[in-house]
Amino acid sequence: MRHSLTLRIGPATFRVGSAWRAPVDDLARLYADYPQERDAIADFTVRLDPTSALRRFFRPSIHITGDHGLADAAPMSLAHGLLAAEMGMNLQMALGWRRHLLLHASSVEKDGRALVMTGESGSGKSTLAAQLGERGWRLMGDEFALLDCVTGALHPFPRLVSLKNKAIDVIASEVSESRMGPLLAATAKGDIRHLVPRADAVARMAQPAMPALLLFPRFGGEAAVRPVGQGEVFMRLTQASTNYVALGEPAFAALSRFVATVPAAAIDFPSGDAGIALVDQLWADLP
Amino acid sequence: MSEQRPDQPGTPEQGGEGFTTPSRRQLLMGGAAAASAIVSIRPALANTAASVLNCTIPVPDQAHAGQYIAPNGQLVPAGTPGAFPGTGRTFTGEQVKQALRGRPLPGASYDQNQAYLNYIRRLQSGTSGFTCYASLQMPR
Amino acid sequence: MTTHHYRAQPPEALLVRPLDDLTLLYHRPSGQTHMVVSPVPEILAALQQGAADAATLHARLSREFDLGDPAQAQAEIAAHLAEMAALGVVSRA
Repeated sequence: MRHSLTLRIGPATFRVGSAWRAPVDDLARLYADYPQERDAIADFTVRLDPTSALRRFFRPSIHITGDHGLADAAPMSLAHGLLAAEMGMNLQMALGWRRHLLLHASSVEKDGRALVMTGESGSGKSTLAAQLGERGWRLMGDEFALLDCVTGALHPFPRLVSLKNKAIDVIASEVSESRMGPLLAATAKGDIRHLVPRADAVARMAQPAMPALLLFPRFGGEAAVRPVGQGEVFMRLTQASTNYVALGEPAFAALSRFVATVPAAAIDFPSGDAGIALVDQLWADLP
Repeated sequence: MSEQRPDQPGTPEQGGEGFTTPSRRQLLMGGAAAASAIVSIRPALANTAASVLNCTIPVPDQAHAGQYIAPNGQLVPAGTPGAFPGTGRTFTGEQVKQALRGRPLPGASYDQNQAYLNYIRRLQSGTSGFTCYASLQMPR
Repeated sequence: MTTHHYRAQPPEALLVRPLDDLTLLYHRPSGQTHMVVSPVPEILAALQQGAADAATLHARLSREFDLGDPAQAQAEIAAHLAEMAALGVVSRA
């Protein structure tokens, strides 16, 4: 690959190669404070390939691939190259990571304990995690939570936080511009800007934390809290996991212990501040 | 293999000396005959076009389609976490707090158990885990 | 009419984890996870006393539980056993 860099995020090392320079430059700038060991052995390779020889130069179009790929992935424009690289890394983790139980969830840490938030796109879990990360919590990740099947601890995986549409302005108003990635307008999921996690989140990305609270956030609606039964939590987490079945018995043991020991609630909130207030209240009420 | 049941089976009645008659817990006293009591976790389907069709992309504002009733009686969109409409189970703020501290919510009858399992069954989309995630994340 | 007899799986084949509102089963031979409610955990426990058919299990369960109309209850137990056997959670004896 013409242009490439090697990135370590949490326990995973990626080698990202690209036919074009721009996405790699973006990654290098935004991940500048992350370990970038040039000769490190990569767990995964991500490749941004031209969809055809012509499309390398004329209306450049990216085919995302790597060790793991999806045959029918839609091509992306070079203008969204940074997003393509991030999606490529997501794909490698989702398809190939086996060292932890992978949950599609955000997580933040305080006092050695982790808050995990899971839900569908648009639920607010990424934005809420980003906001908590600016309010004394350590961001562990916004996309994947990595559950250690032996110890039950959560391992950080702090990638760039993907902020969509209205969330962009909310966060951008709170952080310095140097921590914000370029505006990627009109992607398949709307406008996107990436947020670089705070320095301490990066510096402590090898420090796990025991999960203490699980929330199902739902942005938009009157403030409300509902307990969620353990059976429902278990089912939802298997749906939110990309490798539960593949991991077999260790995953069953880890997830059933998680569900039996971590209290869970669904929270609805009309605004970021209301969501943060609910989180603080529930966290304070923990035994 | 030993197991504990969440509800206590047949607690002896108090009072009197000597032998007490345990009041036996009901089993199989539901109306529907032999409804399935098992939901199996389904593995991710292979990466085919068919599996993409099975994965529903939730629309948050689909307010009027197949609503669930949250425990406090509020109408919420289908699939909302914690919205199992257990008959007569309205939870006070205090009960919510207790539930989060690990105390089990008030016990359920056979019919309520069956209803809950059906609710769990409906939460399971066509795929489990990866394929649904991938199809949501990757534009097609 | 043939009656089917069933036997519990060997103890190391099935992991049982009761949650507050249902029970989780992990079936090692198949690697499958099942979420179950009554009467499946109770039937599994009653089978520990030895291989049985639906009528025998009905008798065992009646000692501890109120099962309602016996004919209907036996039919339901038979149906549950058939489903459990199809999944490999119990074996046909």
